[in-house]
Amino acid sequence: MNTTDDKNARRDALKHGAQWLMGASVLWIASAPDRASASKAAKGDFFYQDKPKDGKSCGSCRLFLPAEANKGSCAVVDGEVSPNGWCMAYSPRA
Amino acid sequence: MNKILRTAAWLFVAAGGLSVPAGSAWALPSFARQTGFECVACHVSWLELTTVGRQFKLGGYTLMKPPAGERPVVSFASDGDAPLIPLAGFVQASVSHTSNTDVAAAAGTDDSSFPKNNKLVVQQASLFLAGRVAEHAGVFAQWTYDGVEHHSSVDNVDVRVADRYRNDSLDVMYGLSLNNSPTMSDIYNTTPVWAWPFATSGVAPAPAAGPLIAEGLAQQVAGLSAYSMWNKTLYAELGGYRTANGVFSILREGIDRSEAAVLSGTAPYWRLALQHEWDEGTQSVMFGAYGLNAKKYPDPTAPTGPTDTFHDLGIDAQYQYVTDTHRVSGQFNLIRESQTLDGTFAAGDSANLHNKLRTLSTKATYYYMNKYGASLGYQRIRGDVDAGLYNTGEAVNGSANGSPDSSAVILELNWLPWRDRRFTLQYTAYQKFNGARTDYDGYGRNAKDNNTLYLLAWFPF
Repeated sequence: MNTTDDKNARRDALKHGAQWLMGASVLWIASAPDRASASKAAKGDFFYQDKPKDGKSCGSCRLFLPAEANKGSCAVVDGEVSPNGWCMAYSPRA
Repeated sequence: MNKILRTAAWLFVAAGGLSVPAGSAWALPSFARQTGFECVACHVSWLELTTVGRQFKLGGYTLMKPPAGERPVVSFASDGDAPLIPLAGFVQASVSHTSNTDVAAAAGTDDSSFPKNNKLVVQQASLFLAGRVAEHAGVFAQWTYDGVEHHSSVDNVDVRVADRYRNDSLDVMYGLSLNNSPTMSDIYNTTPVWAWPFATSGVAPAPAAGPLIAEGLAQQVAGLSAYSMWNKTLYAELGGYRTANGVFSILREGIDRSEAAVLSGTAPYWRLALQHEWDEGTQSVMFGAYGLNAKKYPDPTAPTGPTDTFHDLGIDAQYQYVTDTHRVSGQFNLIRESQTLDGTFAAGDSANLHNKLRTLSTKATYYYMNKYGASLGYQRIRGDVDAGLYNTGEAVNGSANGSPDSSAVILELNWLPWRDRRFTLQYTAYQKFNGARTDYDGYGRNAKDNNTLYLLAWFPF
């Protein structure tokens, strides 16, 4: 038969367990190693496509970083990006 | 009305003066400085989040364009590298015209019940610390000066750690949110903290009743929740809220202890939402549900004895169509609250031990060229009659029949001559107010007497 003390002990154990789990999660996430792509969004996040949309393309976006001809990268989207591509984060140069 | 027109002209001139350094188009400017995004990338029209805005929030506000050189410590420039201390702010100036301020002499009051009617007020000024603080950590912290109450205090706070797991078949964005208001952490614009209307009159009468989850605990509690987005389809969040005591009292800084809710134990909060995005991201839809169970002491200055129990359940849906030329969005939110008022009933302050309260909020928005917008909304509150809770005996804010029932249609027109300068003209038309259409307060006041015309100028920086 469960006593009130048993119930309180289980409640305390659950409470402390949850606190430790939360604390460990914070430490784990905060201490995750820096990855080159970790700060960037995936192409799929912003529906990147290799063709322009409505006359807008990465080549005229302020976040596009040109490399060799017809190639480049993006300041916020991971991977190789075409100057003729487009994504939802398109932000024209001022 | 002439006074309102003169005020409108003044606001426009002021906007012109303030717009000179505005430069390009930003949303919460510190986030825009950090990412390089235009405001319309993250917002249908601020504050409503697009797919990009939701991704940014899920990522813990950490997405950042790499700096080209040494980052400045503080900067309000619209371009260049993100500053190390991500500061931003906004100012709201407004004027409100309530339809009828002629309160019956029998109520023992007069026009002084509406001291700010037809007068220009600096309604709100906010300062933000908002942006990435580490590889996996970000913050959104707002401090607000209330120009009506002449008081400043902490506003919305959301501190996040976030990460992501990705392989060929699984993509999970996950993290933790420490915040001070249930639904502050949510990524959709249906739930109370981020729901439309994004600004309303701070001086006009408003319905007395509202469920606890609808900002009844805002800036009074400390909450921690774990969230995750699975394959950009399923959003799940689980957390809990407690009284903001000890080190967590910083989350209610500036709110007097006697006015801040005191909870018994932890109030669990949960959220589930299914979303789908298609048509190259142009369209998105979401269906969801959320809930909060809280035990609250009726008197925060004497947190002992029986508590009031609130079971809140929300059902919501959202649709967005986003292009550069046309933007359409719609939101629906239904909240059902079951109250067991052991504490309030024992103190003799409610007539019933058990009460129900239901709210419905819907709205549709259209924007053309991100510059001209119109929104139409309908809001309704229905609940059990409880003379102890709602019949305060006051003119204007009371309810003679003890009913919380209110309903209103809200029409809003927006003009953004620059994308970070907003002018709003809003009209709220009440069909029912605090229980009745006519003579709701027992002093002869009708619901439509509270109809309010509201003109707002809103300038972020």
